[in-house]
Amino acid sequence: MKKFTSVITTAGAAALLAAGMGFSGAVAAQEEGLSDSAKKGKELAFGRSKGNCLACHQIQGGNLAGNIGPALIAMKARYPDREELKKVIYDPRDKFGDQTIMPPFGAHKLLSDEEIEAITDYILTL
Amino acid sequence: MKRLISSMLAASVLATGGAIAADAANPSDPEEFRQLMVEFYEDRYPDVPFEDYNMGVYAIDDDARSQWEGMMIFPQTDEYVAKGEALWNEYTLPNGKKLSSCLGEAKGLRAKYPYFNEKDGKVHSLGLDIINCQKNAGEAADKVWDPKNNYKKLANVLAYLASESNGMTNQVQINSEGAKAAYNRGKEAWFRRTGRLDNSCADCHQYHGGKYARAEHLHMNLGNTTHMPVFRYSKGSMFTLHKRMYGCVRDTGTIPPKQYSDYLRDLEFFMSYNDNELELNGPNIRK
Ligand code: HEC
Ligand code: HEC
Repeated sequence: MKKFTSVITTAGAAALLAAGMGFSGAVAAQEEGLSDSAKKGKELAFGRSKGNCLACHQIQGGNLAGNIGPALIAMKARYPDREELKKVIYDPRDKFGDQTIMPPFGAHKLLSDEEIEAITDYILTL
Repeated sequence: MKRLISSMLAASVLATGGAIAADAANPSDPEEFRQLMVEFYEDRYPDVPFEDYNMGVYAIDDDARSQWEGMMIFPQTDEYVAKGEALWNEYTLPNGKKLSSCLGEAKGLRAKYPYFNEKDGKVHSLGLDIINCQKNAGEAADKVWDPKNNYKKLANVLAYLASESNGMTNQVQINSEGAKAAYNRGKEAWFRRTGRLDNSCADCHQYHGGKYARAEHLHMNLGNTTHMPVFRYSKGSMFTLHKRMYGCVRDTGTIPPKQYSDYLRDLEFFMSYNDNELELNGPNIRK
């Protein structure tokens, strides 16, 4: 089931649309507005192997999200300074203190700088 | 180290809900610390009765609980208990004796574990004492029921032995400086962040206990040990406590200490002592 839903939200959406299945239109439209970098960021944020942000954060369009961290919404309003957002992802301990459960994605090399840029681009579209 | 202490501080400050002196927040006395752990749980879930803590996540998840109660009517664990019982009765050591010659009778055996052995200064786990009984009697290396070569036999026998103490009260003893030190090492392990994720047991099962990681509902800080081993529905097999601890440490992105290593035995001792006064209810079933 989990596999099934992630297929629908990513690669499957385009194919379904091509097949003329109306209900996937909303998902596809949402993807359409994304830059290439933001698209890549979304894949990383939803995927389990690398970013896995959905494990802890609710993100629009993501199924079976966790709730360990706050929902990621209105991010541009909350992070007008892109650098500040990138820093949170790179090492959340700077902003939230040593006790945060959120992993230091950059500092511990869970994600490359390029991947963090892509995720930042995506998060700013939320 | 600094971070470790401050997370323990955070635990007890949260537990008592107020500002308290540093040493009161992290008492080295095991019983005092156990009480803080109980209070932590009580504060977060005031409506959950203490005796329910041994249900793991089902104590705090009403929907999943009724499903689980259904599963426990004709539990899948029965066939593992039966296999374990046959193994326990049929197996003979190379010296012709039974396992009970080193361990004692099955009834109530699990309830005596884990314990701190004053002679070798270490925590003894039931699984490890079985393994050592076989090794000391000269059993061939590939026949010993260790987690590597004969994991299923080990898990089945542990399931049987759990069933033979089912319903008894968990009463782990700490009566010496050595035992106290083992508990406090286990405490450090519980709060120590490991791996690339930089997460501790307490991060997932205490500070964020009750929340969801994806679809996984995280259980709270007590009730880690009473129900082990556990049949995991999603994996279709029996998991010992040491295999689960090993898996959780590995998932933080590091190479975990071996099952039955001193590190994981101390951690078992800490968690088991904290589960005192709860009823033993193993083997059990989880999603
Ligand atoms: C293991 C849990 C976990 C994971 C995985 C995780 N986060 Fe977080 N995140 C948190 C928590 C918890 C907070 C809130 C800060 C705190 O309490 O420490 C947070 C805070 C944030 C914030 C700040 C929100 C605000 O309101 O200021 C952003 C942005 C964020 N996370 C993005 C991400 C992204 C992007 C990823 C994946 C690459 C991610 N997180 C993965 C747990 C997590
Ligand atoms: C990144 C999150 C995370 C960390 C860190 C973590 N665990 Fe877990 N653990 C889980 C999840 C998810 C489960 C399955 C749901 C549950 O029972 O909480 C689980 C299950 C368990 C279980 C089985 C509970 C049962 O009722 O069968 C035990 C025992 C356990 N963890 C102990 C530990 C110990 C000890 C540590 C630290 C060495 C640890 N965990 C660290 C996520 C984590």
